[in-house]
Amino acid sequence: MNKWTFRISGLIVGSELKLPGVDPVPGPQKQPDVLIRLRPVPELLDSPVKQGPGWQLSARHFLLRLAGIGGMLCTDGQTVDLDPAPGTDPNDALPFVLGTCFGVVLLQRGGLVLHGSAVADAQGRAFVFCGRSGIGKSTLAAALCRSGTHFVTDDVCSVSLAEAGSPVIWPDGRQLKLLENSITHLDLAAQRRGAVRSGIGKCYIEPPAPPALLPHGAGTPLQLAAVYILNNDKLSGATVIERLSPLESAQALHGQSYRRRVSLAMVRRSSQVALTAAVVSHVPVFTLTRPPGLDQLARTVSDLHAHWQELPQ
Amino acid sequence: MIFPPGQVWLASYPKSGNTWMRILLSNLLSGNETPEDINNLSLRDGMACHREDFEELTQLDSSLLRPHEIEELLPAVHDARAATLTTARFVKVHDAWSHLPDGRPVLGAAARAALYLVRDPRDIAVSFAFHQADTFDRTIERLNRPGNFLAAGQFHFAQKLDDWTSHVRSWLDQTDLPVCLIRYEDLRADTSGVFRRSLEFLGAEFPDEAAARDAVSRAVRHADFSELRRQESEKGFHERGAKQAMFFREGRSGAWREHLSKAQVRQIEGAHAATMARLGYELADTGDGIA
Repeated sequence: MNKWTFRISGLIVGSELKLPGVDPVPGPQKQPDVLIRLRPVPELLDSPVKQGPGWQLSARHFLLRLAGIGGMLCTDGQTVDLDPAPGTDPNDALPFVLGTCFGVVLLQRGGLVLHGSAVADAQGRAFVFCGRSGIGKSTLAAALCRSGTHFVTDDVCSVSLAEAGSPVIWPDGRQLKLLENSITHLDLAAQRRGAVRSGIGKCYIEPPAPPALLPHGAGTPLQLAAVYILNNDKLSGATVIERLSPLESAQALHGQSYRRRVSLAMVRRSSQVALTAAVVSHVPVFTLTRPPGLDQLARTVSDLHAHWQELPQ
Repeated sequence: MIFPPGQVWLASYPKSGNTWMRILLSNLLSGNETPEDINNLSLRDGMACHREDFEELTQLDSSLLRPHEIEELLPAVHDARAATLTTARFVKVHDAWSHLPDGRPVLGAAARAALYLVRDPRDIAVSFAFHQADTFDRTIERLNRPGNFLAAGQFHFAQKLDDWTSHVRSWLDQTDLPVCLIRYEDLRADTSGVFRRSLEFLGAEFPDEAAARDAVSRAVRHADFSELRRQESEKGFHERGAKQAMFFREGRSGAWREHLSKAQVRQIEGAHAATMARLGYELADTGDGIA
């Protein structure tokens, strides 16, 4: 039975467990798009088309099995079943349900899902920051929120098409996940909402500028205005923003897919190619190369604000 | 020149010549007439501790995992990477060789061989201290500390170094895979000869003897210390420590005699005498004081 209802990446999610880092939606809701349930899941899938350490993918299912944590099964983009390891707290597995599994659900539903964090300006233009884990996507998003932009999404960015055919992204509905050094540097201690998982050092952070303040509200998508691929350069010390050619943009978007191996295996039965083509034809994709380190963050933020002045409104 | 397919570990305690070996191999494999760019080697085979490789294979956000949960997945991750190789792959590793409680090697069972580089621990103490911008005393304490780790960073997991003797023994005495021992001092003294022997160990095949000599001597020339310093002076080097002036600092053997006090030498030799003797590093403290 669904005890809780949430809105995540534009989807109504019914859950038997209270999900961390996301606020429940109050009041009666329409039929959920996705259900999160406590159910036994199989040891292995019958006919996997792709697999890796701890996971298998078949035509309808994605199975994740983590020793000491539990099994998780995503089916048809509609259900995520969680089978906690014996003697463990189901809540301990929820970061993986909300991370890898929810990303796979978005892929199973045919979406283009980028590994990126996003913010939007007062005009509702959304900017996505992609890059490898540890490069500072969440920290940059948090710093930009500190400078007056609005938080849109952390780590997972679901792209779809508006009726006019232009790409839009959905506010994720979830909080930021930050490490202690970023929380301290950005003076966000008052926004802290508890540990993401015990023993890993990351905390949920209520965004300094919540999505409810966006011009069109949290339940509507935002016009995608630019994609940035983050790189660090500790040798030159300069911030360099370069626009990619259409072919480079398509390659970069593929490279920045969320859960790339699963995404690639599903490419033929999704709209990823059409969505990638739409992004490439409507949205500029840039590489953003900057000096690493929290002490350089303010400079990157001001460089980005200057860059947005030059983009079409 | 052809290497048999499969994964090879380039293993060492830090500051023992691992980066230099990678640059030698990269120059050998490129076969170009000009030296490889040290900041953009064509040998892009990574490090065992890289988060990105782990995440690509597991489809997980590694920052959500506790250290023991990462270790539990590592054998399968390393084996999954090695299993699909159709060419040679050289992966740098500073971790000691170790096993999980269920007996699986943490670095997996699918690599075909390892080159293990060792260096006089007294010279490591000097080089590591400069690299970390730390004192000799604290660096020696780390060399001697069982269970010592290199801390996790933005893009990599913590690396299990252990103390220096345990690190050496873990690689040389394990029976899971063949290991070629290379002393840094020998590689400095006779780079072509020692590099060539390590290539033979790895089963490298050349069209003929002349081609082998030519390829090895070109790689050695392109990875010469003066060339590495020249490139670092011009453009910097991404592996340089945050507070370090130069990564390619001296590269010579025996610098410890000028930098370490007698007490510091005694501390290292006291902890590692048996392993140093095994590897042919003469002790300065013979019991009658430092020679």
